Amino acid sequence: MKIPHAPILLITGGGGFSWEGKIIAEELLKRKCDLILAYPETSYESRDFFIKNDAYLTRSITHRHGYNFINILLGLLSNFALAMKIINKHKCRKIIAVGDSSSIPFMLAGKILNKHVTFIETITRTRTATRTCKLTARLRLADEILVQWPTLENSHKAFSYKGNIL
Amino acid sequence: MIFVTVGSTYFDELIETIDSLKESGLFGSYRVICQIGQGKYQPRHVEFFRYTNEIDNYFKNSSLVITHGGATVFQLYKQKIPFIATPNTSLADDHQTTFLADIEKELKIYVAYNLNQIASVYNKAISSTIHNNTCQSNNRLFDHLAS
Repeated sequence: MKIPHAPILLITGGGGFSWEGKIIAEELLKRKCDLILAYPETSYESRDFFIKNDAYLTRSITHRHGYNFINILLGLLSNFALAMKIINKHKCRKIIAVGDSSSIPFMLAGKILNKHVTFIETITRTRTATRTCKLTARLRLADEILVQWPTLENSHKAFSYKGNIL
Repeated sequence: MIFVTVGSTYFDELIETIDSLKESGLFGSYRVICQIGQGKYQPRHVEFFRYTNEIDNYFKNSSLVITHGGATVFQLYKQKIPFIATPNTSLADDHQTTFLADIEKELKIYVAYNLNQIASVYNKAISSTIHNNTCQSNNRLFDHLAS
């Protein structure tokens, strides 16, 4: 398989999302992809991996972490600015987003800059999609939305199944 | 060691149950350590911390892990570490219950669908061995993402 030269930006959410993001990153690195990584401060389990790979640090903006509306708004704006900077600086050809709402500004920046955007729904969703996934579909923030269970594929016309990360 | 993990959010009901089971003697002489995330309940009969960057080390040094029904299930399964999964029903859509029911059809895992079942599942799980022949790298998905 021939891999294009321009880098892929992989943005992951915190917690379990970061574990999924790490697996995807490791597989893409095995395939000699030029990879730019971004992760939030809540990626406790996979932090060492992201630090080792010079990843950018994003703001976690999920309400579960005690953020109020102002902080969420500031987080969205901050992540959007960071996304524009990264995509322009590295001339990324593709954005892959794994996980929570932290990735929304990155997908939006990718669309504005006319990059190919892929959203990957978490493997823990077998029948109902996350709010972030539904919002991504509704706002058409991604060119493709990959779900990791065939049982979820038919719940929205924008979802497609191409296997899972295991 | 028995390690209990709730992931990045909170699952006070699980930690309270583990604390109570330790007090009642279920875990015998096993050292029990809980990762409690943002939980408010602080256990009195077991050790605990909120988050760690080295959770893999806790997994590897555990005789059994008791986990919420999140992605941790696959981490443990891939590493062949015996575990009991129990759904945190307070999370969005109660998706962990559905998730565990669906993967239980595919993989041989121990699930306690409510916290009252942990004690009964514990004795089976503590001596179990995981054979995870089904976990193979999915080249189709990764090749697609790399292209």
